[in-house]
Amino acid sequence: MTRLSWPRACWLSAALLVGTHARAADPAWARADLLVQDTSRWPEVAVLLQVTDLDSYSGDSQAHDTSLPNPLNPFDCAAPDRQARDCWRVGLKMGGQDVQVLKQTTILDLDKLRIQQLWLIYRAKDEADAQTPLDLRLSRVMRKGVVTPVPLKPGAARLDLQQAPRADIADSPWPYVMPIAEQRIRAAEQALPASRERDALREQWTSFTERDCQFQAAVGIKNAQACRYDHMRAQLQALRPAMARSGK
Amino acid sequence: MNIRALIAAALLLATPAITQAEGFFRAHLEAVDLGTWPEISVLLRLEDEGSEGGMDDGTALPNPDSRVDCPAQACWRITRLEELGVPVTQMAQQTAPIQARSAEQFLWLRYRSNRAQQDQVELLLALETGYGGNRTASDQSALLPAEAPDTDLIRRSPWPYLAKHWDRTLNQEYKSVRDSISQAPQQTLVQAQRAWIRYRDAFCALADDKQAPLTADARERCLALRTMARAVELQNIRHLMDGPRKPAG
Repeated sequence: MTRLSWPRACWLSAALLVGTHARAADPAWARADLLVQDTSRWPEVAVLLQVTDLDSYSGDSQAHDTSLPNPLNPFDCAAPDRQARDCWRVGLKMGGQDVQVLKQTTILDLDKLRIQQLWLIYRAKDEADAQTPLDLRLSRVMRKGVVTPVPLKPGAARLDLQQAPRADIADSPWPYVMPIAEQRIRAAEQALPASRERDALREQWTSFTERDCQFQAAVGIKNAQACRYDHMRAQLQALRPAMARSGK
Repeated sequence: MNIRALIAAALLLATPAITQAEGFFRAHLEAVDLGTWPEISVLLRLEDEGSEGGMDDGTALPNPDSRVDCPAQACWRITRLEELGVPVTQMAQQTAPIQARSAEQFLWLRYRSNRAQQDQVELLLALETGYGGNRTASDQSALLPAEAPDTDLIRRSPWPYLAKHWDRTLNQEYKSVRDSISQAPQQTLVQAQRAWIRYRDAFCALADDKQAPLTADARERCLALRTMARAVELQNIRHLMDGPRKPAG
């Protein structure tokens, strides 16, 4: 049995009742926003997008109620025809012409599964000063490799490099993403009362992260940076009750 | 949304028979404590039959960390709890978090029996989520406390029992991963697991917001939740090493 999130169910039911079949078949439920870009290795361009599930029941919930693929789920992001665990099929066009996507990494938001960042490298065509906004199409790779298109909000499917700030993301998204996560971890630790126990926790968490990420890299599951990020995300979730008590 | 859709949505809201979801939660009796009768504690395993357990992250089970899902820390409205048609006196409830991809969670209830003497009776149960109309299946079976494992580990809370439960799961997952890899990464895994134990102990030794040491129950809860989280991590590692395209189990 498949259940629809409440807004999506409402839309669908409304359309069925009123007869707006054409719109109901494909209601936009996600948006993609260009956060930063890096053109330092032209014609290879790196961009970092934020993809948001607009229909997901959210509130203050961390619940797993989202239609986005989850890179932490070993059964998502795995298609039979591909070796890499890519969570998305990405289509980019400039002036009606396809643009080749070379690499991708999906990074979960630190707080919610319904928000994630998608780092892409693509090969640009023409000269740098002749670039026009890119048209973006996304399909999600879900369990058992099922690929389904994700209808994006009108206006949220065009990427304009000129409008996005620059960041050093040519090699990977981590130089942009990690400092934000580290800042959040420091703030979460500050929410705990200063004590020997707090210092010990910091020390033991760091030691565990190092050793676990050595292990995960050794068996080829994750690279060290991705592993460290996932540890930070998990630690933030664990510290959330303490943060809520302190109001931080 | 255009005006026609808004009208349709309003119509839909006014049609409870359509809008109320079919019940798709099912409760199983995991353990019972009859040692302080007429006060009884039960631990229920709630299964979301609408979710593909083992693979699916999506579930309508309430999230205990959410104030929206679980106002005043009560994740469930207990719409029926009866022994032979006589309501019992509800005393307390606690809900354990959803384990990733498990599509189930544990609900601990403490109640006072209104029977004159301790005998074998059926417990009739109906639950509804605190945030809306999702509820137990209409054909939810009666529960038989006298036939469930009797343990005092659930007397005051679910955590001592769940700490043991998830510790067993963690050990299974750890051995499964360790036995499937060669010697060099095995040593790294052993070091990582020892570091995790030190981290878990440091985490659960933390003072609470009143600078007082954690109560025994809070410490058990902390140990249980940290252990569950590590068991899930190791389970993910096992699945990824097996090959992400293979299904669970």
